Amino acid sequence: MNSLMQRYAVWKWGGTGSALVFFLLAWLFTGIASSYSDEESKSRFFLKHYPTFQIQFFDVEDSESDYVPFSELPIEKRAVILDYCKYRFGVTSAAAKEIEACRRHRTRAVPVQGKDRAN
Amino acid sequence: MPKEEQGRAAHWATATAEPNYKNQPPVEITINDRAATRQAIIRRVRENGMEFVERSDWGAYKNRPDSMVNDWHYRSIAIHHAGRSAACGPAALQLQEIQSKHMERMKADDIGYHYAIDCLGNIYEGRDIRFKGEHVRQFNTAVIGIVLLENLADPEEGGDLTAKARTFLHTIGFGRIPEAPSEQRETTEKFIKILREFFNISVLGGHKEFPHQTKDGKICPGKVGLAFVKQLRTRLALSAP
Repeated sequence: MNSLMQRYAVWKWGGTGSALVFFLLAWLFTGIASSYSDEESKSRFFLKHYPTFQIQFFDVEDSESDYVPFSELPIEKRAVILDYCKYRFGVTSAAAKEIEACRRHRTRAVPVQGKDRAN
Repeated sequence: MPKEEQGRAAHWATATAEPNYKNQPPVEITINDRAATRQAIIRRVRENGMEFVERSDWGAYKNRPDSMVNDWHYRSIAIHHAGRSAACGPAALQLQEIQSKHMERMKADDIGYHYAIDCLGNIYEGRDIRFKGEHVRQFNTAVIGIVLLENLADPEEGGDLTAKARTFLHTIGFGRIPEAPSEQRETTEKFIKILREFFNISVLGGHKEFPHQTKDGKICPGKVGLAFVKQLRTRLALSAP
């Protein structure tokens, strides 16, 4: 009887513990990239390169804005981009070249306005 | 009239020219013609018997003016619909929702469009016309953005889960066929004519008609919206983007 109770306790607490560990890992390593383009909100799940409890990230390159060099962006927007690049693509460097490369990941197919425009 | 204003009025009523002014260096007077033009557009709309609702009247959130970019010599107009989840309804609430999404998800400085037109044909001011919009990816310079506050996409447009759900609902008899109401159509045409009085507009297009927009699989302003834009373009003798 005693060993049955022990087995039940192991199964109960082991199962709960595993579920908690799984939940914690999922929380730490899963993120949602939110964006807004084509008049619709979009959300995509992704695996984070580094653990963090932050769930929502903003993919501001998937938007209807014009391209602005990173150094000319307001501080708030820069922080959002740095966050997204770090956790989505694993870019930890604050070097302009790497950040721009990370941003191009989203914008590579779209030339900057004026370059192929007659007027 | 407050005392300060009385003093100012008295100054203008009684001031005289400086003595010997002909030999003085010229005095530079700057006129904010862009602010005056914004106001003149509003006046022209009202003179034409249409309702114009300014930002403060629909309860716009505060924008971020420090990072907004000036723009002025507009040559194109881009027509948008409000997305597949939109429908004719209370415009002020719709605009607040759109502005909130633009500022939160795109980290835009304000609502991206310059003007909005609801289903009753009322015109709403979006982003101040003196600032560049954020409504056509990488192509916002010199483009005025006008959003028609409803959905103008056919159920199957988009080809994603939303499109499948809409098509299914449509098949079993739910969901309406998108159509721009006549009041909205008339106002849009009149308003574009008014904008052409102030700017040298030569191009009119739906959002996805602008260069490089379809690469992202864009559907705005929907098939119904695009058909309307094409009609307008023919009637107003404007070019496609």
